[in-house]
Amino acid sequence: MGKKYSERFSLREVSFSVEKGETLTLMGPSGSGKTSVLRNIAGLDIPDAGSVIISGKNITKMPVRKRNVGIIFQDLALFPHMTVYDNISYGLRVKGFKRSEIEHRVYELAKMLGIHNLLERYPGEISGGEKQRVALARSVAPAPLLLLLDEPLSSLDTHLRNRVRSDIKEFAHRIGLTMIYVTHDHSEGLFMADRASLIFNGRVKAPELPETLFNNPKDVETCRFFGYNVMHIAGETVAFHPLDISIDDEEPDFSGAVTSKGFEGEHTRVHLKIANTGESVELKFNRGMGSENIRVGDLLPIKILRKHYL
Amino acid sequence: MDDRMGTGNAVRIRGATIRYTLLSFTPSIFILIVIVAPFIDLTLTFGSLNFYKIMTGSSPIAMLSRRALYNSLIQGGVSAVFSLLLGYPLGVFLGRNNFRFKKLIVSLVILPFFLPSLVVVYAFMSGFGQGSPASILFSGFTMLSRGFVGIIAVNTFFNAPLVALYTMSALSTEKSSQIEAVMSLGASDVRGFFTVFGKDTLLAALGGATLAFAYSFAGFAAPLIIGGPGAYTLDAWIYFMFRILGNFHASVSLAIFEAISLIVPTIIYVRILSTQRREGSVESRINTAPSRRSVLFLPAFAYMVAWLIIEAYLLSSVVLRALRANSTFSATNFLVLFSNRTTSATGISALGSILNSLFYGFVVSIVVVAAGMAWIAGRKMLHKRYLGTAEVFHFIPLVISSLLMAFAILIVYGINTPQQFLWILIVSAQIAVAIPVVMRTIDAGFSPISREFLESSLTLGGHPFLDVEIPLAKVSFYISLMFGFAISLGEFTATNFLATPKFFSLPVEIYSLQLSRLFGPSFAAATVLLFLSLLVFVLIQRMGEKFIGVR
Repeated sequence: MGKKYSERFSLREVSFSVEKGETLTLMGPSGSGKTSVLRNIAGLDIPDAGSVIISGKNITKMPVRKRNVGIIFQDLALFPHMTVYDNISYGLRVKGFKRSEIEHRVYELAKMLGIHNLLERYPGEISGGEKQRVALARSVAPAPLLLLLDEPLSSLDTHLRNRVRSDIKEFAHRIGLTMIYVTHDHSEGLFMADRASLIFNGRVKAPELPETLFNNPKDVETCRFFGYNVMHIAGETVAFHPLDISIDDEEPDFSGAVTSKGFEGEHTRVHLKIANTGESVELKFNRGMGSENIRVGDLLPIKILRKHYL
Repeated sequence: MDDRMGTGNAVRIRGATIRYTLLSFTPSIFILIVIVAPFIDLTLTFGSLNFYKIMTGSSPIAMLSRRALYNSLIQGGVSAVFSLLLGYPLGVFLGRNNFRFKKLIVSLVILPFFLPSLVVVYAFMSGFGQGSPASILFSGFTMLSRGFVGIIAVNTFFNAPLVALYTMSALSTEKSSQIEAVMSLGASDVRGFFTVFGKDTLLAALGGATLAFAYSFAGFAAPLIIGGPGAYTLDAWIYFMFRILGNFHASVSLAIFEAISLIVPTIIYVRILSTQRREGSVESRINTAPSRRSVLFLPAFAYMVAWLIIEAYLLSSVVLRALRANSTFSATNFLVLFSNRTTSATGISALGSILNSLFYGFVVSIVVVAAGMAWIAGRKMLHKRYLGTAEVFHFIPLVISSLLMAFAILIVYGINTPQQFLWILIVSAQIAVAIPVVMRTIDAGFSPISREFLESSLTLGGHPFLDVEIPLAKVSFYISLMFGFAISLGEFTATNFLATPKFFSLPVEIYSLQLSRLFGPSFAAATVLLFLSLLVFVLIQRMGEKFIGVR
């Protein structure tokens, strides 16, 4: 599908499929069109060209409320005037489910997500992590064919984010949920994915297994998004991960002066400026690689352990 | 077949669009029928394009009209400046500081603006007039109860809370990190405040001052009751020319002149308002009170306390004056108010005028809120957040003063209206006066609702308007009902112009009692009006303080 939003931005060449029960993550930098893709699938925006097909049915022109596609927004958008129970049961109530069915479904979901003791509370009275779970329960309660998640964990701190994303993944696999998960955080996107794809300037790349996508980047923008260094060595464009290096005085691929260095716990991050080209590269030294002796201004001879030719 | 279906669909969609557009234009259509059309008709039929000649020449009418314009400009300008000077510090203090009973104190500070203008005039007459405690203390205070100075004082007391309210509103945006940033960069409290909030608060205060100018420029109650002919504004002079001198053409010409004069302040106000319109999360407006007290806290607190003392003094003086008869305190004035003597003096019993007021208030609040709901519902059906210039119609009652409105309605619709239906004209004029306030209040309930709430409801198969927007914005409807009632209750200018004794409202009854020199019962009636207004005000405040109305 495609859609023109303005003279400067449009979705182009958006074409991918998601298997039933699969989680596809769509990763990309801010402004790349991630949210726009979701809005077109949900029917909140209508594509100019192409179609959205779910279970063989073309839903491109179908009204939003009839699509049975759930969405979790970045700010979750829990209804502040409704209790947790009312929020979760909302989709079931508007679809006319029986009261007993609604109660059963809500309690079942709440139990699974560990929020069954919060049902009488209002969104303003629960924590950030609990809100994420309520939003998830609300979206999956009507058993959507597809669930869209638009950076739902962006407001959480790192520790809680890691825990909640793990919970979501486990929950999705347990109930066989089909999801498209959007994020700008590549570690979160790779973690959540059964298959993963990237979007740059409104163009979506073909989905691949997360390991394949990360370990075998095929172009400069993918490399840059995953934090690879891209540089020119002997007339060729070479990409390498900051961890895939060693200090090698005998056969270095390049040398550069250390401009900054910092210890980050798991590794030490070092920035180099290559003397003859002026390019900057970022390196990460795992513990035990002798990075404690590196000083700003040192000239480091670096060997690339795993090169990707672009 | 497909083509026919397609054409059928297109016709249905077009039909629905027209219906929703008409629905969303309900308040605008009302204003068109009740204000704009009569005014244009009046202008074309009687005014001619030479209306401005009323201001030229050396005839007594021209000279007095120029005098009225001068009075309007001076009273409007000076009242606006004083309202700004007194209201801005109050607004800043209340917006920037947290203290015990703050909500109650804020309510008390802004109270004068919600009171009927007639009650405020009576408060100054009783509080600073001859024989009042203030005048015994210092005879110079009597100046505040009459003439030019009195009018300016009344206008300022009435409008400074409006400026304070606007200033407070501009302070409630999330800027605490910016304040902390400027403080960390070494800015003083005052410098830091103006760096972060200066533009927003001053613009908001100017918006309030612009309205203060418009209200004072078209002031009616104060110039009429305590000003005298020498201090008549354009409104008062038009009323005098029409009712007393019977000079119909001159009245129409001056009315057109006044309406044109008010276009500029209204445009300024609408522009300021449009820069301050906020959207986003319903929870985005937070208190930005600093964690430590500024050195200016104590003087500002003292200033606020002084304001409250003056306010309490003025309002209690109305009650005390009502209770005073023959140098003793008794309920005599209230007994006289409800006696046959009063009925024969004004043509209606006091109870009758109270019941009329309650009836008008009930009808006005229901109709104006229904129009507001139609406006919002139509706008939603059209998937528009704002209708743009169409909504400018809601501000027309600010350009055409209540008196001009009543004037046009009476001339155009009054001739063919049977006497027993005169109340419809009165209610129509009051609805028109209430529209700018009520529409803004309703809008304040809807515009902060974030788009994600609505889209969530939509994707879950619900009805965003009924399931999310109405429950979230229902308080604004309740408050709008109260505002509609309060405005109707206090409306004096248009009702006084339109009503025959049978249809007198309480404010008109008060004025009539005064004209009949029944001063004691007049103050008793003002006391009743004061308490009724206070009751409505308390209800509004209990429902939600963030809904700011514009009188």
